[in-house]
Amino acid sequence: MENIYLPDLAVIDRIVDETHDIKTFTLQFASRDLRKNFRFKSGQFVEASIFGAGEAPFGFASNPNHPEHFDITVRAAGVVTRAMHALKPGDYMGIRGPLGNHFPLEEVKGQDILIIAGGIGLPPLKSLIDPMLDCRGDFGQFIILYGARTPADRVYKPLLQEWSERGDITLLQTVDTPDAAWSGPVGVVTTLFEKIKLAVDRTVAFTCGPPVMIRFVIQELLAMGFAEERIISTLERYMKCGVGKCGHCAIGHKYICVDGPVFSWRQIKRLPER
Amino acid sequence: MLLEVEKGVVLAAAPQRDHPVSRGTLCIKGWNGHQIIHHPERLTQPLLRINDRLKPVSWNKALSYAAQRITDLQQAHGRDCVGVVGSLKTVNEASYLLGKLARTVLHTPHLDAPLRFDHAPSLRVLREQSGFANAAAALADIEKAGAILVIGADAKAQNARAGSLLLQAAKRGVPVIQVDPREQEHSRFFRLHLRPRPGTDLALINALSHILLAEDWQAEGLAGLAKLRDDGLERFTPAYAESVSGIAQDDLRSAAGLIAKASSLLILFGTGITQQANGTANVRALWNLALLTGSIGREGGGLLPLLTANNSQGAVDTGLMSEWGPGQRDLQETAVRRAIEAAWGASLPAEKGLTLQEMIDHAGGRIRALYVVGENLAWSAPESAKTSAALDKLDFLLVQDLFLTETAARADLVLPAASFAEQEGSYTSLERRLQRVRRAIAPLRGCKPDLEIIQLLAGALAAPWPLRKAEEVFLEMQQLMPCYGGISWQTIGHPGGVLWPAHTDDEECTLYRKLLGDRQGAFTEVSTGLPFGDEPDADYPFTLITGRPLFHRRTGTLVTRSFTLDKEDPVATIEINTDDARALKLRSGWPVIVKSRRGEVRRTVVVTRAVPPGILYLPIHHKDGLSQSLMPSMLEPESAIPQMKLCAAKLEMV
Amino acid sequence: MQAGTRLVVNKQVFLDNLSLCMQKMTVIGPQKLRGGEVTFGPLRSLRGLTLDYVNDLDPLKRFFLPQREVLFAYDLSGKKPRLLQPEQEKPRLLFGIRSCDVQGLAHMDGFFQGACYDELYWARRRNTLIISMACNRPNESCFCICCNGGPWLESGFDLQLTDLGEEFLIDIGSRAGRVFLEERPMPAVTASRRHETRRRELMEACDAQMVPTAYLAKACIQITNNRVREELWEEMGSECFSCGGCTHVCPCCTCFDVVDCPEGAKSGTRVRCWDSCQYSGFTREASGHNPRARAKERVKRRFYHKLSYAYIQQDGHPGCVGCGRCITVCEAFGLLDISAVVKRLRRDGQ
Repeated sequence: MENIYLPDLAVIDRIVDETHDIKTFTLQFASRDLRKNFRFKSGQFVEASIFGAGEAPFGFASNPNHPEHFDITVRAAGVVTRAMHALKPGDYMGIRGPLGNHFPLEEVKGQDILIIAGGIGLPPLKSLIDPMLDCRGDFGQFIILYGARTPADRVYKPLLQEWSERGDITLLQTVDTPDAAWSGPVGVVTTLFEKIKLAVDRTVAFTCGPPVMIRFVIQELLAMGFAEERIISTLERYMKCGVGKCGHCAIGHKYICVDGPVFSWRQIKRLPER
Repeated sequence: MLLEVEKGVVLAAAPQRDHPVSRGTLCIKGWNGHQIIHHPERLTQPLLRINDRLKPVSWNKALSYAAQRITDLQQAHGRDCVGVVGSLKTVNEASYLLGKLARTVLHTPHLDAPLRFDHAPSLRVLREQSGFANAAAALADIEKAGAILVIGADAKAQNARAGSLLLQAAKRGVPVIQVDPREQEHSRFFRLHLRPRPGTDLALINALSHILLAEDWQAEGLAGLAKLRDDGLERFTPAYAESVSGIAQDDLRSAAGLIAKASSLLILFGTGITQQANGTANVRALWNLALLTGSIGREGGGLLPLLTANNSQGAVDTGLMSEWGPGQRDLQETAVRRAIEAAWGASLPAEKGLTLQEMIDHAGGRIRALYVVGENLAWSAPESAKTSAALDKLDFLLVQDLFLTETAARADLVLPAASFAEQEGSYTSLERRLQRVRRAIAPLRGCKPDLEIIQLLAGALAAPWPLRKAEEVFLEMQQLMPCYGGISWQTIGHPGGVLWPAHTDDEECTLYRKLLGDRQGAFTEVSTGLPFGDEPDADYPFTLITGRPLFHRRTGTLVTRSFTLDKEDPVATIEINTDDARALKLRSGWPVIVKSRRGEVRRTVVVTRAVPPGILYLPIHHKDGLSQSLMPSMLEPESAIPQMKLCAAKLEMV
Repeated sequence: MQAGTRLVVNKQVFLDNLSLCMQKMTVIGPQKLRGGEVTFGPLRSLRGLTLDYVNDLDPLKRFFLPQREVLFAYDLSGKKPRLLQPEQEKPRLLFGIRSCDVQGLAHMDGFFQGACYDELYWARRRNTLIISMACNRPNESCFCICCNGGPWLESGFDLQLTDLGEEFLIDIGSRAGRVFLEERPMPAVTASRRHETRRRELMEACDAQMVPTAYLAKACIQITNNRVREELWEEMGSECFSCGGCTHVCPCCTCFDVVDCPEGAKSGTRVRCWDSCQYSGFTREASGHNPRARAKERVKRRFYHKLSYAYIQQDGHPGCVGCGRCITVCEAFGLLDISAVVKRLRRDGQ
């Protein structure tokens, strides 16, 4: 029976400790067919199962151009994620996906790109940044702004170092509370806006992070003159089935898991509840 | 409630349209409570503590061990070293036999039901005044009342049926007077909301009676008014009440006026006024008020305590309260004891037994062993730290339950019991409605219905009891309970059962009239009230009130094991007034430590105007510390109820 | 015989044939419980069947979306986890279902094929023959005439029966219905004018007994255009007991929760069970943030969904068939069932 609730088995290839409570899992499907044929797009997500604990949604955090394996970056916050953190390489998970809609990538070629990420909002944006950097020449100015609570709470620290050393993109980082070793900016991520120069008519902004941060970021972007369709974000809701059936993630007549999670500000504005 | 069963598994609950009380509805617990039945944590084997670990043993081993242990302890320390705590949830037949086991087989006077903690004062006063420890009204009276006083209770949260009928009455224009320091969801629909200082209800209620008398608004033909006035009601002037309770005199007069004009007064009340220093005095004052309006025994009038749990009343009727045997008869009266002894063919202890809190306080001393059926004492009793320590002091703790509750986890022996869907018997609701409950599935493998366990335990203790089914036990207990007389097992099997007293099967008696007859009842004494023993001071400046929110039961044992219900109330909160919060620089969502003189818990702040300044509202919760650990256990002298509604408290930053 | 043909068959003959079916497959039909309440369940013989009913309070959607359903079982005892599909539902027959519930199934059909096709639902749906019974009389809470929900339907059934007294008038609604009749030859005549007249009389009598005060159209427009005062939602939110009864009994409500039920450490099942948007836990996120923390927001959401979003999602059909069950189960009696709310909205909008 074609059962949309039945996961496929995937094996954990590698686990990286990003912070004290965040890990990145690199997964590969157990089935060779799937390993060969699986494809996903930036911004989509999977429902990952730990049998006995439950299932939860996680955005892809790796490059869709290399779909033989894929990453999810997970904070241990509830029953499922804590069970996941107890796993080791070689252990199995159930995976359903790819689910949801995706970030526009082809459509924004030729534009300047502005990425604004907060805390654990960086992982889904990474699935967009990676393939964009594969064809860096197709885009104009490329700026990444990343804000975290403390330097230790940043994810992908080695990659952040790589990005900051590249000459063809601008990476600015900020923290709310610095530590002794931090020499960079301090403050919320919106404070980084004054350090960059943007041509708002040619730039597309992508932002992910805590709801409060997104609200302020979008406020700033609009104040700067960004058009509503040029601001792309993700909406988050409590999600269960991931396939538009259980009703939990419904806002208005849309389901975040099917019509989202990626929305433009123009679409978000029109939704009845936010 | 109907249960849908497929292949021995309970899948779902559905409402019953032809039930006269529920009328096709269920509350959130009704719709989802069945999820506990097949929960993986259901106990399926007796557990015996060996080398400080609970290990599974066979039923035979468990029962013979229990019998041996109890006998040994009784030989060493006397037969009254054993205490028994009954359940508010199990069937009447099991409760009846538990009482019989305690009093004749164990021959101990120490037996009590946990209703002690909630409504001991209500039962005492009602029995004293009317002869019966029962509601002096029925749910149907809510639909017929001329005016309704709701005091110390949140009907919507605690009893959906009462709350529903109350809301309908309010929407129809019936004047509803609510007395509660805190604002509730339905307050906006009520005519008057009086918000007294906590613990001052006595002054308020007596002042209402005082005004009725002073204005000559009382009902006609009442006797004993002069005595009532001179005995103490005289001093409860509106001015006095205002100074004590903080309620404006005009509001008191408005309330009295609404009551006086109404055709009848129905009083719904709850633990908000019983779990206090003046618990019994408060209920007496309510009785006087109802009597003054001529509402006792009248359609649409009377006193309706909102009891907790599904078979609280049954536990009282079948004889689990310390002072009363089956049929609520006073065991201190020699004639009563003789009659029961004759019926049971065994002698009863003559001494007065310890009540529930007293048993806990004497654990390790007079009480060496406790047999606890279906009650999570470690979480329901106040001053939790003291309770846990007390339970640990026992030589033998025997617990009978569905799950490994915190009480069972401390036990020496745990017996796995069957759920509500797995046993036969009868329940008695808060309005004296006797109904059969039928089993939907066989008891899960390994567990047994309470009725069977109690009979097997009696057998292990060498009592010559044959193993009987619920119907046979019902017939026996009926002989000793005149109030259940004339009611057949068949009739109580129909939807809605029978509202006792029914002298024959056909008589449906919804009201109290038949009991009271012409006897209108007498006024009770007027107490001036006792000082509360845990007053706020500079160190503990707040008065903290506990409450039970919609999604909780008494300790959460069952609620937390229904995955739908458990999602409803995940955060343990404390409500604080907006102005107080501003002064302390606290915001909603912030963590805070709540301390009383007895303990501390961690809670999340909710800033609201629903709570008056100076008051903190603490919903019962177990996460990050038990709410009950803060509350005092000192007893109200007359009814032995712990004064656990209020305490002095302070807040500290995390 | 073609779809659209009307036949008349002797009632007892038809029921005898139904009884034969009971020996070969599961036949679900209306039966009287102790106490007189009627509920649908598997019938073992004709003796259990009753035709003296209006409807079951327990919604018939439970035969297609059970209140508790295993999605799959898992076994972790080996090296690799093994996942086991649930058993397929065997062919069965649903007899006596009312038009409102048939219309509810049409609503669920639209829902369970949109976006992703839910095979668990469709396996049951495909394997069930629907023999509906049009209503000759409503009960006091019925209002299907306001919602295109009955009492008679043009389609959606395999066979639709009308009780003419001694005979059943049969509308054939599908090929499966036709085949059912062909496989069970019974003396039958094509419906004559006499039969048609009798049926029209019954229809009109039934319509007349229903009080049409709950026409949804105006409320749909009010809500879609956001022309409802916030204070009205506030009032309703305060009244609501959050019991979830309305969503449980509604033939058009489909929301569910998914939970893993372990049996020991090595195996268990993942089940789905009915959930309600009226419970606060429905939208609470792991962080604790809850976009619909107050009953007001949940009540508002429910009626926006029923009267506006469902309308948009389901091609102009609002999420209500007029079965009246929510009127019975609502704890805030007479205040928050959909017919009461529609009236309150209309009154408020004047």
